[in-house]
Amino acid sequence: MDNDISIDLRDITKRFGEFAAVDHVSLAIRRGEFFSLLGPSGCGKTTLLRMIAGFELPSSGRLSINGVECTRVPPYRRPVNMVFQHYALFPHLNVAQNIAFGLRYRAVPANSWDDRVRAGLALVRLLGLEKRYPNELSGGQRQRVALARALVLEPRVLLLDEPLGALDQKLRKEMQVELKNLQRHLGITFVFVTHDQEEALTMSDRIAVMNAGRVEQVDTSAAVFERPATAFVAQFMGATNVFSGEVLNITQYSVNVRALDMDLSLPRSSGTPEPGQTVRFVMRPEKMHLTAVRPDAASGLIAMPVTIRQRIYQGINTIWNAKTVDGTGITIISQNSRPFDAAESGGESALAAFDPRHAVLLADAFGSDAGPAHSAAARQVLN
Amino acid sequence: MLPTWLVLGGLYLLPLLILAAVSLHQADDFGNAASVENWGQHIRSGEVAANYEKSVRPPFPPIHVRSFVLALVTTAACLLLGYPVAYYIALIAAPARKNLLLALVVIPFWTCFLVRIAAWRLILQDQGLLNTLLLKMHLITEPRQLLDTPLAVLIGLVYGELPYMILPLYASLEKLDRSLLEAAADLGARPAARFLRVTLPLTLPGIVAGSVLVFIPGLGQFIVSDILGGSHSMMIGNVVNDLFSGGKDKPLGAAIALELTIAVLTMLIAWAWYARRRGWEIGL
Repeated sequence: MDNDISIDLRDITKRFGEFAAVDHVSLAIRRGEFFSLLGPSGCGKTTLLRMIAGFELPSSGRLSINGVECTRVPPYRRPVNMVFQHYALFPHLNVAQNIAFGLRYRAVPANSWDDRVRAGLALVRLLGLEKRYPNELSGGQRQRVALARALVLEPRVLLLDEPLGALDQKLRKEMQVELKNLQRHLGITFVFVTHDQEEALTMSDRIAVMNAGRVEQVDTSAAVFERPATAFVAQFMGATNVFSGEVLNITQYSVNVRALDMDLSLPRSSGTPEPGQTVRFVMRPEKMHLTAVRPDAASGLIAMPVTIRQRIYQGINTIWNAKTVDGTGITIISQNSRPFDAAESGGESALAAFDPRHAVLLADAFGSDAGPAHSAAARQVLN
Repeated sequence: MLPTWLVLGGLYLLPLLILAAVSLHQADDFGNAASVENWGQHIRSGEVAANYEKSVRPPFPPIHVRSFVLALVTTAACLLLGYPVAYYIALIAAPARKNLLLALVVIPFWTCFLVRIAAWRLILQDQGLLNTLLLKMHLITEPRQLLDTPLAVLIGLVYGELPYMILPLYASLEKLDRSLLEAAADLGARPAARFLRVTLPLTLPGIVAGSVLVFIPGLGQFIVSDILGGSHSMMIGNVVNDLFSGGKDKPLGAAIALELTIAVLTMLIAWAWYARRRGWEIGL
């Protein structure tokens, strides 16, 4: 058993009747990392977390925590603690009693409980609220109490089930940074469930993107964002511009593709397509721009004529929805780095320019690590 | 609201005031309230409170105590029997079966209480169902007398009051947030500890509500003790019933009835005060 592995999931499946909520998932979560399970609602991320906590038993597969087999160990004997989505604070106990709840089940002498509770409150900056009851606290304060209640037990792994979901936008952003700092400070493993890609990107060392009970991609935040492995991940991360083309030939560093009526040289990704095969690649909306002038060949930029359909002003950014000549819808995001000009519409037609070196070939189109059923699901999402 | 006060005043307060007035009189030869010629004399001589004095003298104290103890034991028994039932319906039974199970709790109400209690005579008599069962199981060697004992009254009371315990318990267990139990398990509490530290304290409002609903009617019961209890298991209710319908001494009956009412009212007010202090929703 690898000593660096905190949570080891081997081929975990959870069925509810015929429905597989979690479908043959294998993951190795490293010790001390901030790991996020990211996906849309119903993708199985919460079920997976509940299996790690011990609230659900896997239908098949094995689960170990810190090298100890835990597949069928009840929750009260696992070295993990959880922060619940709606906090699950005990309404009949005050803040101090809530935080002290679990101490009697650990080898913690009763005379040090008060100190531990104070330390927990100090950690989440809530000193002075010991005697308050949960219904007298704000959402953010409840969140912190739930965090302190789990952390005073000094778990090796902290599980967090969309803990920021009930907070307003501003508080959410603050808590994201605070949670990340807390995790660094404590050095324990955080497993964080969220459906918010920005939240996952902000906090995580690594992210597992889940879809329909399966893991689509596990990688660092930047890698998941910049180099999506599947169409689903690309779409979920907001890379909405997907083009397909035919492979002409393959060199050491690039795949030459005939697409958009042009010959494009795209960087290689994992897996190797064959000449003649149809592949798909994505261009992130913020990596394209609109221009009236065709860029010169030396820049390496590619430009294609598009018709502007819609312009959405968002303050920091403007989103442009456009259509290519063959009718494919594309999205371009431009930063409003210059003074805003309401009259500037960009006109009905323009050129969409991009650098093909920024394109990402989708591995699932020609099958890499992912199985065939997997690609079918991803393709469905795309259509 | 005016109509509310009209109904409460006319149907509840007015009879109570009449009862209070009657209790201050002496009984005539027919057991009715005799008219008082001189109220000044009546009050000075202490005759005005004579019925209240009588009510705490023999033979009444043992009956008061028996009623109180029977109501208390009934409440405890209903709680011990009702909690597992309510727990099962609220937290364990499949959602699709909950309504059926709740209906089974309520269905006995469709039959007249008198008839159901009379049926218990058949079950409890010497050659009845219960004795036969105990004999067949070799738990006893000869039939025991169950009918016309305080035990029979207790069985009848528990039988009659049980649904009033189960329903409020069910309501509070149903409201219990299951993620709290998961949180307790996550923090290291085993099933027994979860029950004692989370489930029990959070269903306390249901426990108190059910206990009030069982204890108060139990205290005033007279049908059960009349049919199943025989002459040695009288409760306060039987005494009042006897004094009134037997035409023996209505003023004394009024005094005892009023005492019971005040005792019950005091308990209700105490409950309401406690519940309000704890922030429970009880609709009082």
